[in-house]
Parts: sequence; C-alpha cells; structure tokens
Amino acid sequence: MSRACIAGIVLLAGAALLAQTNEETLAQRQFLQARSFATQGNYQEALGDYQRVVDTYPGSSVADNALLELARYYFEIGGDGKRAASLVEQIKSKYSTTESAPEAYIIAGRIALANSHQPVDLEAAFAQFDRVQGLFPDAPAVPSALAHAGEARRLQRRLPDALERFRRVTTEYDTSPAAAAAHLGAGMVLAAQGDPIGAMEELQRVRNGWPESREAAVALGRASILFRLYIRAKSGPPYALSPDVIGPPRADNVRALVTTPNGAVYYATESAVGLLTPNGGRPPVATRPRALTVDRAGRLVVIEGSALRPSAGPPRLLTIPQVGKTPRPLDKIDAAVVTSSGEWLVMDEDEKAIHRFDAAGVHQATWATARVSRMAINEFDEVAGIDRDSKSILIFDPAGKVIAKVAPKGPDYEYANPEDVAFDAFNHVYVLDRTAVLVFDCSKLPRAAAGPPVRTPAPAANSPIVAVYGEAGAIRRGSAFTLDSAGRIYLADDRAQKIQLLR
Amino acid sequence: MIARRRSSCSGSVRLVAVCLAASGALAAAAQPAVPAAGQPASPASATAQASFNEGKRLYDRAQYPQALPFLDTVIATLAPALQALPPADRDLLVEAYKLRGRARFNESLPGVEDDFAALLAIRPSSVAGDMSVRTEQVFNNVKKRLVGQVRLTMTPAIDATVDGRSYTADQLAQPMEMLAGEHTIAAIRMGYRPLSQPFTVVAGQMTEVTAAMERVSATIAITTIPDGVEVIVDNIPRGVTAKAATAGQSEPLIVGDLGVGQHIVLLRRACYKDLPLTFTINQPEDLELRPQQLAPAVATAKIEASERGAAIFVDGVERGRTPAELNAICEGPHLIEVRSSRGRFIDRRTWGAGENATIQAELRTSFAIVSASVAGSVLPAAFKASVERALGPAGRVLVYAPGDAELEKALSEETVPADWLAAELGRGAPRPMTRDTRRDIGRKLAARLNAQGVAAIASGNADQVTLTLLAAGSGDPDVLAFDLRDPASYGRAAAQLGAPPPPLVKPSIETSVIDVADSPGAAVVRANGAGSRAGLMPGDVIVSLGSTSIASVGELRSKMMSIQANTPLDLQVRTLAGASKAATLTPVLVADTLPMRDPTLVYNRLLIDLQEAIRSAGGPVDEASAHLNLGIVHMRLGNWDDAIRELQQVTLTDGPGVSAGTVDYLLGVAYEAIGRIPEAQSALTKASASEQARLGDEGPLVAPLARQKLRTLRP
Repeated sequence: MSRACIAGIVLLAGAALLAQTNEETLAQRQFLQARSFATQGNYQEALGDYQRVVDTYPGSSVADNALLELARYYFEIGGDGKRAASLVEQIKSKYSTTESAPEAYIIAGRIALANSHQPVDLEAAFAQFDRVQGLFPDAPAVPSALAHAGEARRLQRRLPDALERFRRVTTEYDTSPAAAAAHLGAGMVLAAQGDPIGAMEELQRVRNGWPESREAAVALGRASILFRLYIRAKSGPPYALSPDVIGPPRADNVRALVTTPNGAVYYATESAVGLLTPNGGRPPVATRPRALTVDRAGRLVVIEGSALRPSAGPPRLLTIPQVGKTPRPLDKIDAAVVTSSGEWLVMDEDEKAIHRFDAAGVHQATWATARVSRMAINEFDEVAGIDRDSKSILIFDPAGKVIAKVAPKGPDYEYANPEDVAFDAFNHVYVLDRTAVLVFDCSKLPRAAAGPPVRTPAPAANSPIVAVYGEAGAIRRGSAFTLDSAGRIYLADDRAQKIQLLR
Repeated sequence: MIARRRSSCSGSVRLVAVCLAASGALAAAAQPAVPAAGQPASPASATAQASFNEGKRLYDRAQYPQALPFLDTVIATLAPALQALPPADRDLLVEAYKLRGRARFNESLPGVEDDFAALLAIRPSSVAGDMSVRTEQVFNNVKKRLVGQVRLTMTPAIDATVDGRSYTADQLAQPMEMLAGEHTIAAIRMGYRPLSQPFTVVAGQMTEVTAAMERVSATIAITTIPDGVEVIVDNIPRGVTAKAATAGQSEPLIVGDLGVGQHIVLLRRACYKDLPLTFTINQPEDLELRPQQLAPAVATAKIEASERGAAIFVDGVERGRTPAELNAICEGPHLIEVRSSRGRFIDRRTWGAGENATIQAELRTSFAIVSASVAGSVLPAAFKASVERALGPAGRVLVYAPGDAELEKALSEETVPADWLAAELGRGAPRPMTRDTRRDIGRKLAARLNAQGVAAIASGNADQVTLTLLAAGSGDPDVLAFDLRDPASYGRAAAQLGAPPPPLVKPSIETSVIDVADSPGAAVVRANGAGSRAGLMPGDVIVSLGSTSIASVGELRSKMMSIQANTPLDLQVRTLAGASKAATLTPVLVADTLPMRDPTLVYNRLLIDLQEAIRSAGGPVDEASAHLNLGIVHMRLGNWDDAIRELQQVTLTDGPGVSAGTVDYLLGVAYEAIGRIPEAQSALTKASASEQARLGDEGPLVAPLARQKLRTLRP
C-alpha cells in the first residue's frame, strides 16, 4: 500500500471520527434544548427538537432519551396512547440495551393499565412491568417497575403477589421515589386483606417518609377513611356533623352531588349546577340537570336531557338504536358511570336495563338487565346500583352480572329508603338512607351467583356492615351524597334545605 | 569575603584529583626496596618470593652456583610483567637483579653488567649498598654509563608526572637520578593550561629543566556551614560541599574554570534559606571565600489529634506520635499525616520559614485512591489531587491519594494491576471478580496502605468523576458520581460521604400513630409497650407531649427526636368520646434499623462506622443496635456470613418494634441467601411468631413478612 493511500485512509478515518464527534455534540445540544423547552411548557418546540434528534441522529447517545421523552409526552400529556405505544416499541427494539429501555417497559405497562382494568390489559401491564427486573436487574427503574407490577396485581386482586412486590420496594428500595407509591399500594392490599390497622400504619409511612408528596395527601385521606370505619366506629359514631356551612345557605331539591378526583365537589339542583369547594373552577351552566358524574379524565359531566355534557368538549347525545326506526333518545338519565376503558354505563328512568355506550356516546349493548336509580363504580369496574324495586343494593361485575346484593335488612342493620350509593377508595359501599349513612364491606356481602370472588382470599363470613351514621336528627331527609378522597361525606338534606358535611 | 588562596597541594583544599593521587603513588615509590622475607608482596609473586628467599639463603652461605637458579626463577617470574608489578614485587625484582649480578660476579660468570643495567632501568637511584669494593666498582661504572641527574623546576610548584609517574612538588624540587634519554614532565591544574614538556637526560651529567604552566582561569574555594550545600555558579550546579573531618564548616569545594568578570553563586540546601552571592574575578588566580553560613528555614507544627498515640508522618516518614510538636519542618510543600487504625488525617500545605501552626488532626475514615483512570492529557496525579481537594469537606471521610511509592509497593505486593477496582467494575469487564476475591484484595490493600478502605476514580473527560469506594471487609462497592466543574455537584458528593450515620437508637413510645384528616394530633391505632403502659388506646389522639402541643404525627416525631428516653413526660390525649385525658408517658430507648438499599447512604462507610459503634457502645441497646445494623450493612454488601455472625450477637428481647423477631427475620433472609434453607426456615418460623416485632421502629410487622417468605422458601 502506498504512503499516499495510507495517508488517505488515515484522513478519512479522522474525518469520520470528527464527523461522529460533531454529530454527537449536535445531538446532545438539540436534546438539551428540547428539554429546556419542555421545562418551560413549550411542548410544541420540545416535540420538534426531540423528533429531530430521533430522525437526524439515531446513532447518538441521546436518541433513545429523545424517544422516551416523546413517548412520555404522548402518553402523559398528549393523551395519545397509541402513538406512545409505538414509540416505546421503537425503544424496546432499537435501543434495547440503553437506560431508556427499562423506562420504556414501564411506560408500555402504564399504557396497558390506562386502556382498561380488564384482565387482558392488567395481565399485559403486569408482564411489561415484570420484565424490567428480569431484563435489567440493576436498573434504577426496578423499584418503579416493582411498584407498578404490585399495582397491576392488586387490580387483579392477586393480593399476596401484589404485597410481595410492594414489600420488595419498601424493604429494599425504601428511599426510592417509587417507595411512596409502594407503601400506598401495600396499605391498600392490607386493607383488602382485612388488616385495616396494618393498612393505616403503612399509609402513615408514606406521610412520614414523603410528607410533601402527592402520595402523602392521598395516604392521609385513605388512612382517615379507615380510622373512621375501623377505629372510631367501634365505640361511637364514625362521623361528626360539621358545624360549618357548606354551599349555599339554602339548598332545595339537590338531585346529585359529585366529587372530582382533584377534590372539587359539585351539586346539582333541578335548575343549576353549583360548586361547594373552592378548587373546581366555574361550575358549568345547566338548566335542567338530572345527575352529575365524572369522565375518565376526572372532569365533571352534567347529565341533562339525553346528553352527557362534559365540562370540556362536545356533549354526547345518547340514543338507543331501534330496528327499522329512528334511534330512541334517553330523556331521563338518572345515572351514568364511566368504566376504566372509557365506556359509559347509563341508566334511564324509563329503561329496564343499563346500557353501555362507547366513549363517543355510541350505543354498544345492553349491559345489565336491571332498573337502578343511582350508580357508583369502583376501580375494578364493579358497579353498585340501587334497585328501584327491591331497594337492595346490587353489585355488578364488569360484565354486568350481579355478584352481590345488600338487602335492606340484615341481622345488624336496616335501611328503608336508599337515595344514593357510593364507593370509597377501599371499595366500601356507602348507602344513603334518608336519615342515615350505612357502610358495607363488599367482601362480606353474600354473593348472588357463582362468579369470581370479590376478595382473595375471602375473609371470614361475618356481618358486612362496617359502620352506620344516623345520629338522631342529624340527617333529616338525605337526597344525595358524595365522598371526597378523605371519606368526608357531602350530603344534601332536603328537609334541612342545606348541604351538610360529615367528617 | 574573598581572598587569594595558597597555590599548593599542601593547603587544605580539594584540588584536582591528580594532585592527591600523585602524592600517594610517589610516597609508595619512595619506600625502601627491602623485600619482606616470608611475606609475599602479592599472591601472584608467592613463588618469586619463596625463590628469592631460598636464593638469598644460599647466597648468604656463599653457595653462589646453587643460589643462581632460584634468582633466575625470580627474574623470569617477575620481569615480563614489570610495568604492572606492584611496588613490593618491583622491589623484589630489583633485589633479585642485584643479588644475581653479585653472585655472577663472585663466580666470574657473564651477565653481571646486564643485571646491574636492568636493575638501574627499574630504579635509577639505586646504589651499590653493601657490595664488595670490586663489585661496587662494576656497578658504579654501569650506573655512570646509563644514569644522569636532573633538577626540575615547576612553576607554579605543584605536583606533576614524569614519564607517567607522579611526583610531589617537593620531590620534583630535589635532583633526581634518571636513565639517560628522552623524558616528559606533565602536569594538570585547575585554572592552568595542561603541561606536557619533553626533556633529555645525559648519562653521568646534571641536567636543569624548567617547566612553567600558563594560567588561563581562576578558581575559588567555597566553604559552607553546614556542609552538604549545593553550589550553583552562574546557574550551573558545580558540586556539593563535603563534610569535614571536624564538625562545623565543610571541606572547601574548589570551583574552577572561572573567567574574569562577575559571577553569581547560589548556595542551596533543603531546610535552609538560599544564599546568593556575587563576586568578581579580576585575573586568573586561586581565590577563597570565607566560610558561608546558611540560615535555617524551618517551621514548627504543633499537632493535636482526636486520638492520642496516633502516628505522625511527614512526607511518608514517621516523625512521632500525637500529640507532638515538630519544630524542624523544612520550608516548602509537605504532606503531614496522622494515622491510626481508625482513621487518617492529612494536611498538605506549603510551609514558610519561621511559620508556627497548630494542627487539629481530626482522624477520618480513610479511603486510599488506588486507581485513577482519566482520559485526555490530564495526569493521574493531578486528577487524584483534584478529587482529593473536591471531597476534602467530607467531614468524617477522607478520600486521599497515597504516595506513589507506597501505592506501587502495595499493588505489586498484592500482584494487582493499578486499575483493578475501576476496570473490574466498569462496563464490559471480561471476567469480573467474585465478591469474595474483591473483598480479599480490598482488605489486603487497605491494610498495606494503613487505610480503612480503597477507592478508584475514573473520568472520561476529567470532569465527570465516578468514585468507587470499597471498605476493608466489603465485597460490594458504593459508587458516587459528581462533576468537578460544579461545586454544587461535588459538594453534594462530599456531604453524602461525610453525613453522620442515621441514629441507631432512639426514644420511642412503641405505639402506632397516624394523621387523620380534620383531627389535629396523632391518632393512636395500635398501642404497645410504653404507649400501652401509659394507658393509650386505639382512637386516642395525642394532642400534647411534655409542654409541646402536637398537631400531627410529624410534630410528634420531631418532639421525640429531642427528648430523653426513660424520662416521664406529661401526655394529653383526646379520647374518641371527645374528652381530654392526661397520662404520664415514659419513652424507652429502642433500636432502629437502617434501610437495606438507600442510595443516599454510603454503606461501605457505614461498615466502618458501625464497627466503631460497637467498640464505643454506651449501653446494651446501643450495642445490640450496632450489631444489628452492622449485620444489615453486611447483608447489603453481600457479606452473608459476616451478617449472620453479627446478627447472632444481637441481644434483643421479644417485644414491640425492633426486637428479637426482627433479628430472626433478618437471619432467615441471610440464611436463605446462602442456601442454608433449614436454618432459614427455623429463623423465619420464629420471626413469624413475633407478632409485635417490626422491621424498623416505624417499619412493617415482620410476622407477615416472615410468613410470606416461608411460603415461598424452597430448598
């Protein structure tokens, strides 16, 4: 080989190295710029820069990070799960050994969880989370993956499995950011396993360890619920009537109350919607609201006429298709709940069944043949409804089958005129009788048919009643209620013509 | 300051080497040529000496014919090597020629004059001595025919060589007998042009020869107090003054080849102030400086340490034990170290002459940097110094760079490469060491370096540093990353390194409390131990403790941090019924546990801290907690056997909080980790029966954890 040839090769190699270095530098600069835009909330610019890193410098050290940031954006902010899923798949296939890969698995799992809490999605989510510790045992993402896996198992009601994963986080990674969520999850599992004291201790650990966190606030609310039901109720009334004036001085004909996930409490009278708390913004205008509910995004939805009117976006007109006829509108919607998959379960006063609509408001099928007046739904997509005829509280599984029933009279409780029904975070069923609030433990309800067990393992069969609040004269004629995240009850009393707070 | 020097070898000056060497050689040549009978002059001439002795004995008995063969042997043995003969053999040869000539003369044999001629060729100054008159006449005739006299006059009168033989100036001044013919006188002297001058000696006559050397440069003799001073003339090192036979000043150092003009001399010695001098040479001559005294340049360091009897080192040399005052620290940069088995202190600074400082040596847990890997042109030594400086504020921990020689010795004695720790933990290490091997090497290296652990530092760009710490006895390192360009970044690393260990014991009410919305105070959900003894019940809400009102669990926990255990405190509670209740609560001191995997904790440092905590434990709870937490740290570092050993030393009774059940649970986990399933089952079974024991003071109950583990335990 001639000297000139060797010199040429050396020059080319040097030039290639220089180009590579320049490319890496440019990629890093663009990535940092994108991150800066994102921090400022300028997502449009941020997305553009992240995408340029991915497209122009796919071999750079930050290409996987850029993809991950894009996936996060589309999932957490853009609400575009499909696009986010496509991006995380790119990371998993093209950048499978980078530090972004375990994070990609976690996002993939969260996307599956966000799809729905149906078994197939829960299992898919768990599989994604569970792979992280297997594939990347030393990754910083392991505690987060374990906590998410625990949560998936909890939603599958595989409680020992869930607790085992939460415990791994709380004992092995107790100072990681995921540990707060793991303590929270462990508290939920302990409560579901019939250990409310252990649950309260676990929830307090969140407050001790991460006092300023979002989880600490959640833990406070949940521990307060358990304290009322399992400590205070043992030797006295679980609630005390707040002397504070809640809402308008005079509240007539309150038809519904609802609490949004951010803590805003709305009420609906026959002619308007009002706001009880200062954190909900301006209440929507409504002329003849029949009920209130929240959508999957946690926004208030006013049920008015045949429409579900969300606080943002177009109303959804609900009609029932009829063979050879014009679809029949639902004019007297009494209750509507949204499932974890975004579908609506709707009950109309004139109907003899609960109907299922997709997120856009298109009728899908009859969900359950029953006539209920009020409905509530929990995180397992189980629905509680007040049977108009028997006054019983029916508990439906996600497929619409009645799996349990609260009869108006039990060995140690009785109610006569159920007006409203609600779930708390622990899936206790709250029933508003006209003059009392009764709280039932679903796991102790007699099951109506051979369906999947409500709790695993099933606690001892004893009384399902957990607590009753019905102090003499405290509630004169309750018409509607709602629970906030701390288990406080906002209760409309028609006779007292006011909204009261039980806490 | 400067004076002319006597120009002579006899002066007390170190002149050119030839001057002194020639004196010695000439002195030897002037010895009388009497062979020592029975004492061979050299091993090689033993035969010649023996032959001579026998020949002489026979000669003295007038047995001349019998003597001759022996004398022949002497001459045949020595004559061929005449030029290399030592003086004694040369003398022997001279005597052999003389005796043989006389014997031949007495027997009227030929060769008498030849023998005398050969004798005179070796030593022209030989005389007839005790020869007979007739023999002496023959001898003198031969001498008169072969030898002349010469008087050499040297200017200056110095030692010189004649035909390569050295003569002192005094010897040269006397008339000398020499073989007739051509000769050369030569001399070398500092400040003079070398001399080589031929001259001719005529047999039987006196020849006068004058040899004058030409002066070309000056010399100067420099004497210093003390000796050992480096002499630098015109920026060129010219030697070091030598120690004199008598104490005080040095031998003079002669500096030559000095031209006419001004010269600058710098006298330099460690621990003394530099002494610059200037002198002027007007003409080539020998000059002498009066003795120059250098002023000491030392500082005094008073060293007080947190530990008495710790060894003090200055630049790696032991200089005493703490406390001590070191009053002879040379000015300049020095590393002062205080070392003990528990820690090390270092002080790097530049000391000024006369400086007096007190050093408070706080011994810190030390990690010796045994490996520094840095890209680019940054020198590893500079990289180490930067890291050492950046982590200097890490209060209780010292990450330091040991001396190169000390480190190389330690590494070579343990036969590990310099980058073993960093390379082995780096990505893509071809064959990572086992934890046991790593622990073994780390322990031995730390011991050799008198440190509590070892460290490796690496950087791809000299700024982003990865610090790997491995305590002696640990198989699993802690890794910290920081940026040398960012003070906040390395400040955080230093703070993390130096943070005090979490409290191992604390006062406790042994009762579970929670926050409840809309209910100020700390609500009791499970009352045990001290809380139970004070009458607390589930549902009670603690609203004040001592004189402090309590609005939340957080406030109660803060209050607990500031109280003394075993001191009764007034307690106010609100009951479920809304009534107020007063009680007296006596918090107890309980053990607490470290988290198993807390990224803010440096477990390798805790390993050392907790060993110390065991030694200094103030009571049974402190000691039990120290053993317990050392066991946890060992578990974290994968030292399962050590963990079991520590946990077995924990003496906690069964009860609420961290107690015997906690220890049983941890033992079960440790046994399981090393496959000792029967022991694991036994320990976990015991833990599962400890219904009140917790993993930490505020941690989960261990009984359910143990039961869950038992379900999944597989042989």
